[in-house]
Amino acid sequence: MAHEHDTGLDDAALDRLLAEMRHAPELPSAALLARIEADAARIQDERRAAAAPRGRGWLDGIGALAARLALPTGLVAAGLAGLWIGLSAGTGAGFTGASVYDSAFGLQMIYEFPALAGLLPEG
Amino acid sequence: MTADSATSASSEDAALLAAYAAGDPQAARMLMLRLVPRLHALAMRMLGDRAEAEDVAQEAMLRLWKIAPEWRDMGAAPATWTYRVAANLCTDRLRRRRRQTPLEPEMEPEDERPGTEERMQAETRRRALQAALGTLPERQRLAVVLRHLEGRANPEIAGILGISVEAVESLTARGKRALAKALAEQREALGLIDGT
Repeated sequence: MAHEHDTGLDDAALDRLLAEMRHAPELPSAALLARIEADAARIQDERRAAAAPRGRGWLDGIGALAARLALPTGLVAAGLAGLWIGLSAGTGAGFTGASVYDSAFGLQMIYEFPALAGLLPEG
Repeated sequence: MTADSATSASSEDAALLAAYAAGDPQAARMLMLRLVPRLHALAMRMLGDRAEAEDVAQEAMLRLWKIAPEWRDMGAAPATWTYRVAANLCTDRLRRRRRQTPLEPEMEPEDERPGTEERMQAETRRRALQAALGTLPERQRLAVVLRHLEGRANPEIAGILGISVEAVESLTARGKRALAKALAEQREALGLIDGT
């Protein structure tokens, strides 16, 4: 035993200590788990955004903003119709269904927000 | 953990990771709950610092989330892969510490809650073991923690460390001898008298 006192604990004592510590791990905090879950969601969102079709220009931004603000589609459509009416008034053009369908801008809006079509006057 | 249950756990982890990559948010939560407690425990035992251990666990999981879509090409079980990442992150931090001012192992405030003498003795032993682990070279420390505190099998440790099983056996044996030596002078204070 004198030899063991010189060189360290005997194997049995060290094994008991290690076994005791094995059963008492530090557990992760709820805050850490929340951060990791948020990372997972963020990476998933980024991947989804990267996979989505691109190239629709600035209307993507309006759509994304509206979705983020959870605005009803009808409200967005009405807002865009208001924008269209304002622009039409500025140019002196009449605001009719035909004028919208005849313009690239109008068609782009209808494509993005089909509900707009229901707000257009006939003609 | 038997070889069969380890294989089953690995395939469940891989299935959850694939589900996460396909967009299932529940899969992320389940996988996180399966992996993070052990990653965090490993980092805590390696670093002895809660904030650093949390950073390591979060970073290892972040890398897993990012690699998820390409997982089939990784050639390792998700748990083993994340252990390897966490182990490397811990080693980097330990080396960085050594280059900077040598630090004493983190000493947490004394627990002043009423408790039994046994609980206080156990806490003293935990701190002594943490301090003794801190005296080992990084690879030895990692091997001892994975084998004797995390209970991983030698072949898995070999996969995590990227060395042979024989090298794992050698590292853990040397690590245990060094631990025994480091703890020798405190054996009575720690209640580790032979045969008790």
